[in-house]
Amino acid sequence: MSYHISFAMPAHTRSAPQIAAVLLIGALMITGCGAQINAPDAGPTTSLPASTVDNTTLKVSGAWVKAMDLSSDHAMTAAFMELTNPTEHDLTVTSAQCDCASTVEIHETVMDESGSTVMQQIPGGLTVKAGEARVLEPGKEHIMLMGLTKEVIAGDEVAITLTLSNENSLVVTAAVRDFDGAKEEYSHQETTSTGSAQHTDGADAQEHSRTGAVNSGTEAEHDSHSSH
Amino acid sequence: MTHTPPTDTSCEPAPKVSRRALLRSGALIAGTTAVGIGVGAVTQPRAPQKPHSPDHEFNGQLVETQSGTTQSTREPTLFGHEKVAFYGDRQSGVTTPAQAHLLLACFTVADDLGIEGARRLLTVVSADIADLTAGTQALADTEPELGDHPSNLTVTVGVGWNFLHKAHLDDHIPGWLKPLPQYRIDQLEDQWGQGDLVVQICGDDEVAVAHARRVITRQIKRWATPLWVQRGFKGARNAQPDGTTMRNLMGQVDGTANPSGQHADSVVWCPQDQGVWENGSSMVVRRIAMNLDTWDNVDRVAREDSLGRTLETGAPLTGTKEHDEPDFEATNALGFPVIPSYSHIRRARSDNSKEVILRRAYNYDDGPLTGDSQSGLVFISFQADVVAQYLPLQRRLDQLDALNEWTTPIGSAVFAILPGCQPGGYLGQGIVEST
Repeated sequence: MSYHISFAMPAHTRSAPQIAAVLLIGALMITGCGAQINAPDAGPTTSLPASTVDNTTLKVSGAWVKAMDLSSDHAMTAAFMELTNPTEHDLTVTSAQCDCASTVEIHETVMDESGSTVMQQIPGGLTVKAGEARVLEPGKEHIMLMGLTKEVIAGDEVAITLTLSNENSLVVTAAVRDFDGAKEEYSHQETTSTGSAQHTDGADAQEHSRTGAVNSGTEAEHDSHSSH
Repeated sequence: MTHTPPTDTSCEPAPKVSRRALLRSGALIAGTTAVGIGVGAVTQPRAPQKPHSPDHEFNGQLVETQSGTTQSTREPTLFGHEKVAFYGDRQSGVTTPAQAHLLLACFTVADDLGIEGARRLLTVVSADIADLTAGTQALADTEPELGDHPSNLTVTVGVGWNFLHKAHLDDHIPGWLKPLPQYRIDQLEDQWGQGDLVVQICGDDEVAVAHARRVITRQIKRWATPLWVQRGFKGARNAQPDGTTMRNLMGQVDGTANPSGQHADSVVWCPQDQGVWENGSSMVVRRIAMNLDTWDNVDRVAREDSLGRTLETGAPLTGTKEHDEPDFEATNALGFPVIPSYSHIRRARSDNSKEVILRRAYNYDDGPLTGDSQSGLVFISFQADVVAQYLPLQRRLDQLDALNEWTTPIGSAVFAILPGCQPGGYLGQGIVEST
């Protein structure tokens, strides 16, 4: 029998329809990317009694995806959200899936040996410590949606499934928004050691001035970067 | 049938913690409810109070400063946390007591908007308004700190007939949503003309107002191009008691006769027989330039005659207090009406009790660009039916109103204010999804 539990999140519920509906997977129907996904029947304002709140999984709020069309050769985008771990155990997001992307990875931002900002798959996944919260936002950790199979249009919603280290899964309903930031040009490179995709800052001048240029790291840029 | 007023707090989503507050707090425990950080109670908008004399307003002590001026030791009354609920059957910012600042932003929407474009645009706008008015971070907002103090922010959305046409919703264009007649007094400038979408942003802190404009403009630019912005102001918050009738820049107490309470509701909101527009409204925007340079030539008696009220208190010339009912029958010793037949309040008053509107006007003062004053009024009125309520009134004022000598309408537009929405829904959903 299929079942799902929706969590009202009284302390940090966002306004619907941008509420990230968190569904515990038994046998779960995931609506296709770009389709309208209605808020769960319980609605965002309904609080479940504390005793029925699921204490084995992450809570998600403020989930959104940068809108992207399919015109570019490497159509990809990213999802951002706030993850809260209400449990007494650390939880790790080990993988993610989305109907609208052929490859989904959990990325972090690191500095490479040349001082450039590089985004790469987080080895071992993204851990949210017990009782703590982590924010995925542009320029920091994010969920990378690569090989888009459908246009991701502002005003629509995208369902992203997060798989956790404790084998729970949760579906995040992320609202699509146009966003002029996060303009990194992701060059898809296979790295020999981990096999994960890397992408680096691209040609966007604004982005360069903020994070340092790729492949042209001068001393000055190194200095300014390391002073951050 | 009872309606949930937009100021009702019963449908307000549970308090939520902003991303920043989340980080500051470090940890969250499951099952806890309201967390106090950054979350203020939703307050009722300021109810009009009976203005009282300055002698009674002051509760603190006066102290002499070194410069010799007196200064209050009273703790300042902070209002940054004050909020007006967005969700409800009806939009806020209409019967909400007028805040200090207005930013009226008008847009043209893409010709190929379509029904899906309309749905997406209104979905994004509604979500943004819910967050902005709650003082929480809107999605993809890169300057969220600017929205931390909503200060009674309201954002009210209306559409022109062309929005509905471009959304393929022609069947739902209300009969009253059409251009106003051309009036004799009009000298309309294209730059303040009719647009497809209007977003009325009001608040007591102009920073929150400006932030709301930026967030919304940025998030809808895929579909909507800015056409014009009209900024306006009233007296600053707390400069005078709440509920004090504003003064326009001709010095007149402006808006005394406005309906209030349930009367205002019946004037403003579309009734059930307007179908999908029930709980919507109509908005008339008139940019009215004041020629303060020729107004300077007019003495005080003539100024009061032209309005029909005293300048000092706004009382009708037949009364002593602002809210005294004007006596249009009263005559002076020579047999002339005390309130002249050509005065503004006489001409604006109808014998037909249906011909009433709710004014929500703001001053503008853009400075002397050409040597003459560039001041006036962003006149905004709300009414359930433009044709039945506004047009007869405007026709009378066009035919005769002493104030026409010094005022000139230079902008004009009409919009349909969308009915409100509930959490999980979006403004205009009942119209967009009715076909």
